[in-house]
Amino acid sequence: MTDSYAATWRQTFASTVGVEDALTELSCEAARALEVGPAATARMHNLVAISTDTASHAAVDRVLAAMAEVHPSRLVRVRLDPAAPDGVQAQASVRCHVEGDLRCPIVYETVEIATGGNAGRHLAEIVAPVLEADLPVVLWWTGHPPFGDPAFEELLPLVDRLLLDSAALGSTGLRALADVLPTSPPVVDLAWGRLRPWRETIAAAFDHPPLDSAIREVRAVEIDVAGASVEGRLLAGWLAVKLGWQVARPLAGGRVGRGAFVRSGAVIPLVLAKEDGPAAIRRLAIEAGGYHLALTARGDWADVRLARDDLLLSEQRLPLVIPDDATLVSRALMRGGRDRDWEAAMSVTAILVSP
Amino acid sequence: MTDNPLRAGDGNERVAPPAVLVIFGSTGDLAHRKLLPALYNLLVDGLLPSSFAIAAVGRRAETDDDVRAQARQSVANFSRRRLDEDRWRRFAAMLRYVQMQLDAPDDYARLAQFLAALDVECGTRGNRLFYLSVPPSLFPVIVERLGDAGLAREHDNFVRIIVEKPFGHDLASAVTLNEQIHRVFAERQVFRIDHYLGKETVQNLLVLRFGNGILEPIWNRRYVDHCQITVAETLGIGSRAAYYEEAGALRDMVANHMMQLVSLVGMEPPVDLHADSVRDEKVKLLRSIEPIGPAQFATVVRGQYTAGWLGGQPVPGYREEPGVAPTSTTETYFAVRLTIDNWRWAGVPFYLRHGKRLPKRVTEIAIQFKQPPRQFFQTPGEEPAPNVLVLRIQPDEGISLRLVAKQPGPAIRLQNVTLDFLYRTAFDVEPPEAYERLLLDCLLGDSTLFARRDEIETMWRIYDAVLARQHDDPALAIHPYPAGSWGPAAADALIAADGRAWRRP
Repeated sequence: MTDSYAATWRQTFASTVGVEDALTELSCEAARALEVGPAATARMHNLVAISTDTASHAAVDRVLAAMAEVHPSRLVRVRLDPAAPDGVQAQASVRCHVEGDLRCPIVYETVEIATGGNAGRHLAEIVAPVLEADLPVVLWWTGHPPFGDPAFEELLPLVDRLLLDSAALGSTGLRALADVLPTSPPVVDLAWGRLRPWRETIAAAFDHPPLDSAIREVRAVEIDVAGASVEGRLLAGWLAVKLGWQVARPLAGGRVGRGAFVRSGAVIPLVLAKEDGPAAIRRLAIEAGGYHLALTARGDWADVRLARDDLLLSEQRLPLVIPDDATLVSRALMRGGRDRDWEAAMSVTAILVSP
Repeated sequence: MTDNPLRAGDGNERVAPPAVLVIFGSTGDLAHRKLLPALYNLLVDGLLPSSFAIAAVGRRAETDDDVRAQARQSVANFSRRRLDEDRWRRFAAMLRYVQMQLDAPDDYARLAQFLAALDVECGTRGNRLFYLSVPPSLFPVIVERLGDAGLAREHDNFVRIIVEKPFGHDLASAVTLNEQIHRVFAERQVFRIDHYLGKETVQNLLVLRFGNGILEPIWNRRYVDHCQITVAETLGIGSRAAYYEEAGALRDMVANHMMQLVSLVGMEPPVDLHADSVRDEKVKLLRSIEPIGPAQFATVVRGQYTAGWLGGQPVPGYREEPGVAPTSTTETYFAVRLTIDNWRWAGVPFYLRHGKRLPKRVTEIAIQFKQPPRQFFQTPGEEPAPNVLVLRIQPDEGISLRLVAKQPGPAIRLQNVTLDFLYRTAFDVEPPEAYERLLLDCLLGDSTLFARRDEIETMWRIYDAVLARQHDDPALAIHPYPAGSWGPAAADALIAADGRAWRRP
């Protein structure tokens, strides 16, 4: 076994009952066919990825493909189409990957399910038979999770972690998400992951003089976002939580507009401005302690300028690589527990976008 | 850093604080193979702050650009992450070269000025980390000169020093070295690096032992028959003859790396995971090990490889290696039976073996459990194998548990089966290199994975009599073994005398 190679075995079913037995059988078949010893199954989680329209089907498939052929999960891929004929089609497959320097082949299990009609309203009963016992279940619901819909709500008791992207949510969706947080499984938000480089770069700017002593003296925040980006709101929510601000005036326009925070009686104006271009945060400016800090995104870099009274004090270029969704989903699988920072930031954001 | 509220939570607290890392011996093998690639990977992972600088110290007349060009080659050749041009530019901007003679006091005054200028330029806030990647003979003079130049003093800043092994060559020299260091640096400033402790599996030992409820109740003399720790290498000594002739297997591997493993396997649960709580328990365990005096020399086997075949290739014997004396009595193999005199391990031997030119490269810890009190399923001539928990440190880091199962069929026939956990397949991520973790910990001031003074001295105390008499006491004579074998027959006899056998890893 000196070369890397891979092969796939498949079997199709009209129900998800029996699929798990088939996975075991297919793994044995793979090991026999490859004439290798017992295979190790890459299983740290059950990843249940659900998409509900053609565009998101394709987007999820791209992400899963970009996560490489390998990810340490039993993957349950559900294409839910309420308009499709009633029923379930399930396909079990194992992909056996052998690396030259590894002692044994690795098996990756995938269950692909297409469902619609009345059957599609019983997602919990469709998914439950194909979940590997004792492993955490991560539910990745692409698009807008249907909070309150029985099909979605019945899935949640099976789930240890809910993966979503708050960038897909409008103001109403954000408020609905904030409302369910106390009772939902721990949530991992892809938008929060995309904000991480921003959060780190902002935090780094306040690590050392002169801004370290000015951090409690923020006077104003401006965030420029492009396209349909809604992550600026969450970034503002994060700053508010970390610096002990309360929402004094919600954003007038929901996604963009003017709002304000307050801390110890002092009002901190917030401006969320919109630019043209692909969805992204473009610029953040903070007035603090008489200093003006501006971070401007330029590709994978941020220009960080610090000025006082229009006098430029320093200028730096720092990396600002926004991870792609495949990276974010991979990271989400490795997370555990509640992200209290995100929950707090989301709660503030929901207030910020309230009418 | 901790007073920056934006840093609290979200894992951001593991980002290193602003600092200058000063590498003495920056042109050496360690710096090029390990340190610079590790620093580059920390940068790629976003774990270095923007206010960070690396001062590469060397004796040659070179420029910043020369050092950057060499470092680029190191990263290209040895980094686990491929070289990315954007990130490289940022990393290169952190790198500066400082030419100095390591024993010249004036050069340390210049170094102090240089570092002060870097603080202004890069915002490194007076935080310094001195890395002694130089031969041990230079440790004392560098430490003394740093002290004389006022470079060890802390005010609002931190100053730390990383010392690479060997930490002395016996107990007396370790005590002397520690005293020399302590004349300038307080113990809390000293980080003695043992890269074994930076390996994921070694760190996982603590998680395995104290994060799983099922293991602690059986991790003792009542259930464990014995423990075997094996560090086997296929390589010979390469170009390290001068060093190895002085060191040998005991000093090079057993007395430090392997004793770290012993202490992690055998220690009591710490009261918490603070550095000193963990290290207190490790030292307690080491102090429970009976030092090997002349009366225990029979529990030691020293070996030396002779010419043989390894993987189908002929290889020379140790004494034929370039730079090795033809009459050398340096051991390339060392096996020992350790006795731990405490309540947990009384009567449970710990067998350690390390050798060069063995058939496989493998490092593992094997905990062999006692057999059930009654054997119902014994087939004549087929003794059921005992349960063994194996912690593999390299290669293929992972854990396996050997059980006995019934073979399918009408008769009760037993078969050994293995439950296997492989890090690479389970997590499907590449773990960081040991030096990445250790450099970051040092920058963060977390000394849990670094050896404390008393730890080092207690380790040496166990082997001090062996080291003192190994070249002239007949009981410690060298046993030859052919390259490609699992060591000398005397080592087999050592464990066989207890009714046991070495595992075949």
